[in-house]
Amino acid sequence: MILPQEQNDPAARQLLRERERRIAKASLWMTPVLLVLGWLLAGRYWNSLLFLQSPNEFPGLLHSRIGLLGGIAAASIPCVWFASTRFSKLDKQPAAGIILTTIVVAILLVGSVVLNHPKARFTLEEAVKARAPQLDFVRNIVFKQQQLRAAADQLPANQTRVALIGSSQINLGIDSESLKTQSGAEQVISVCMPGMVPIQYLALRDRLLDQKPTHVVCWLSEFDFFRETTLPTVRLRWCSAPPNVRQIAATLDAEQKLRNRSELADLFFASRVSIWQQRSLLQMALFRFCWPWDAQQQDIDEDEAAIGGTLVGKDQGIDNIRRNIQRTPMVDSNFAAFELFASGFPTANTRLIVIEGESHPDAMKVYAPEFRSETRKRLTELAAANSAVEYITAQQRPTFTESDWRDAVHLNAQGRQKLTRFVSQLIKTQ
Amino acid sequence: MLFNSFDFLAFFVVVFLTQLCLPHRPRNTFLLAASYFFYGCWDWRFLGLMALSTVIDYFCSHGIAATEAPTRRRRLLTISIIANLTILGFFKYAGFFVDSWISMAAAAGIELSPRTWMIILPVGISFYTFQTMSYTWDVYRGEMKPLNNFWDFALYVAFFPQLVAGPIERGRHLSPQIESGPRTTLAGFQSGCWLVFKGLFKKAVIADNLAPVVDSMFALQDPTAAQVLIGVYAFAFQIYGDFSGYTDIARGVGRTMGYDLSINFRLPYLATNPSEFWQRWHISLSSWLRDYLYIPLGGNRGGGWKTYRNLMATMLLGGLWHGASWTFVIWGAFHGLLLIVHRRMTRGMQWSDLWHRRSYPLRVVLMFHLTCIGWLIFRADSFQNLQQMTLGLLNWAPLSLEDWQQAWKLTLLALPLMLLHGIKERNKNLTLIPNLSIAPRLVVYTMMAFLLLAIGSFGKQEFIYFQF
Repeated sequence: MILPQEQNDPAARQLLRERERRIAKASLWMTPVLLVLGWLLAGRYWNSLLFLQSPNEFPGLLHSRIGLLGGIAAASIPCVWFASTRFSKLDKQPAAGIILTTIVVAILLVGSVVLNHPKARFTLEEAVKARAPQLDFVRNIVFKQQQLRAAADQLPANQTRVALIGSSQINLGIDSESLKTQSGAEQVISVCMPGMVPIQYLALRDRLLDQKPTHVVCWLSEFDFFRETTLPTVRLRWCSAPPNVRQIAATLDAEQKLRNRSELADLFFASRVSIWQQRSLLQMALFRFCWPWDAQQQDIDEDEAAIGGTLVGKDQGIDNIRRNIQRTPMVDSNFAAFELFASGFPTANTRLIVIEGESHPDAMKVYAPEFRSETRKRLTELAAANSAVEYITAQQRPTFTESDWRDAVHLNAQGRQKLTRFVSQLIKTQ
Repeated sequence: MLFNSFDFLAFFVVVFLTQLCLPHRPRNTFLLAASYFFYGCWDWRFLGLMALSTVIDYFCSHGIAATEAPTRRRRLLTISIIANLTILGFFKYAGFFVDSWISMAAAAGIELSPRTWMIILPVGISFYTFQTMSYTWDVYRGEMKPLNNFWDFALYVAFFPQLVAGPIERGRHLSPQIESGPRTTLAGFQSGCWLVFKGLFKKAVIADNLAPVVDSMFALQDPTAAQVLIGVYAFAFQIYGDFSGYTDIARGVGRTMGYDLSINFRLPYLATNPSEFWQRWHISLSSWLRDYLYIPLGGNRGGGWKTYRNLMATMLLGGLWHGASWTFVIWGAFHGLLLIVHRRMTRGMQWSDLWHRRSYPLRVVLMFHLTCIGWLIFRADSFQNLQQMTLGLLNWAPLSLEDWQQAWKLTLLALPLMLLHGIKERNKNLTLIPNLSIAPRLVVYTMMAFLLLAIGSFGKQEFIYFQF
């Protein structure tokens, strides 16, 4: 038995190159076959590979531009390979590895720029939509990215535009369609995502204000401020940009900066390299293939139900609150982030309506009373200092009873109706 | 401080640049300080334990080298072994043995009060303890001279690239390097960077992306055969990616600074029999067990049964080395049994070359599956989990959509690795990609870098072998 060894000497390299050259030379004969095969396979399956749709029909393959491109790419492999076996100048350079690394970095940077192109981004997002189950977080990211891009393109002038920002509490608590009808707003944009915390509001502020909303509504309580132990990178990465990463860093004190150094580095990197920024999407696109294509609808429903099953009921929700809502090291940063978020509103001429949030009456018993009073005090102070902020306390808005809740933290249809009506009135009267 | 974290990147950049500027002795002192800092980042409380082990072995090895008297030499060796095994035994196994004793007593109807104290396992203790023990042993055997300078020896024990998960270095390999102080070279830097990159890829892309697959499958209460198979295959590649990835990074980091650390893996899943598997998997541990346990026990010198006894004892202790749990002991026994059966079956047999060639794929597949049975035992959290998974193999049911997704993920991550291994094995060369021509090299490097950026996991998942 001969075990393989690490051999990096010129003789071993020569031997390997010789074999490589022989294979590359032999594969040159395969060029026409690869051209046809590449054409047929790419033409027939590109739709399946990207968007998990059924393979394209045969008659159209000859006219498929993507097929032709695939064929040329496949056919060029042996040619490029054979040419490269004859090119050994680089190996003679002592710093060949460093030169190659530089080339790879350059290719990746170009790739990053390409990924920023709207067409490439759209393709990736659609590929993710085809894969991500209804309640998957990445699906939310995709929709928000597309929504923020699309809404910026078609802005009606001098009309009431309402934006909702926050977690699933406000997302499920206000019915956007009813709000639009009842308030007479031209447009209602929902920039809500499950579990959104005030630091993410800050990360999204500039994009939100780009939509030129007249009113921004949020629903905030201790549930939003008193959790998260570190910077939530998965939530922030997709919307990170150089200015907002600086702002996020500014909300952290020196100790928190040190503690969150990896997270800050992650966000900083994401704000500059879009491959890193879009990694949740790329991961989904690479790993989630619904093979076989003929999966029955029932299978897909079951798959989604399995993920839906992770939605928590009231008791589990209360348990989660008991476990997670506490004075974490990020509380001050969350308040500072919200203050910074609100600071952009006066100049944008946008009203920020902050409604004091709450949860199911049973869940309210679990929160520490001092968290509620501290949240109220800080938000009242903010409203006093910032002319664009209007703080609606629990006494000024409708009260919610047990029958208004669907679980520990989310309103049901009845509660949603109540809150939507109230917010509509609020916008109308302003 | 994980190798795949931003913290380690910053740490390494500082260490690398500083060591470039220092002459030999100050450089060793600096590397020692950096190694202690690195270890202290895990838990500074155990720095004293490592220092204690260092002091004991330094004085024992010098005592042994300074005298010709066999009794004194033996006594000093015994002191070193007992001290090291006591430290290891207390921190790693005390809780396990006490719990086992309480359970056994309970089974016999005797009520003992449960243990109320918890012992924290110092990271890497099994690795550096074995390393120092082998050092003193080699001095005792006269195979090497001890390092004169205490700080050099301390660096030998604590050298940060291989401190927490090996490779378990032998004194005669690493100590001459520390004494001579090798320098960074451009070629060494480049090949070291390639090793780091490769290791990072194996860890962050392959192992950490397979971890959720493995966890979800092993957490099932009533798994189907397909789920068990997906879970076990995924674990086989997770543990390989994780551990060999760590080793590659360790060797790469060492090489960038001029140090050559031992090879630890040689395409283990292409082994054709159990004996060959242990020459390809965790080589530094298996050769340690061979040299310091199997051979001193008598090796294969005492005929059939004694050889089997020695094999079984070595593998049982090898299993126990991995952790204080009965599943590891069973895993060791399973591999001991494989070695015994293989030895018995092949004794005195002559296979023709043709048969060897033709049966090669079959033997590889068979050995891979035997290894996977071992991994099933190794990964199971408890006997109950092991039982559930084993019974699951009899539960045939069609694959659900989720299973297809997991199988796809496993294929995507494991298949290219195995193809590459096949080519390496055919060429009998582990350094394949850096020796290719520019186009395939560029394609592979770019793909790897892209995947590392897009799907690599950084600083989230600890290396599996850290717990050992």
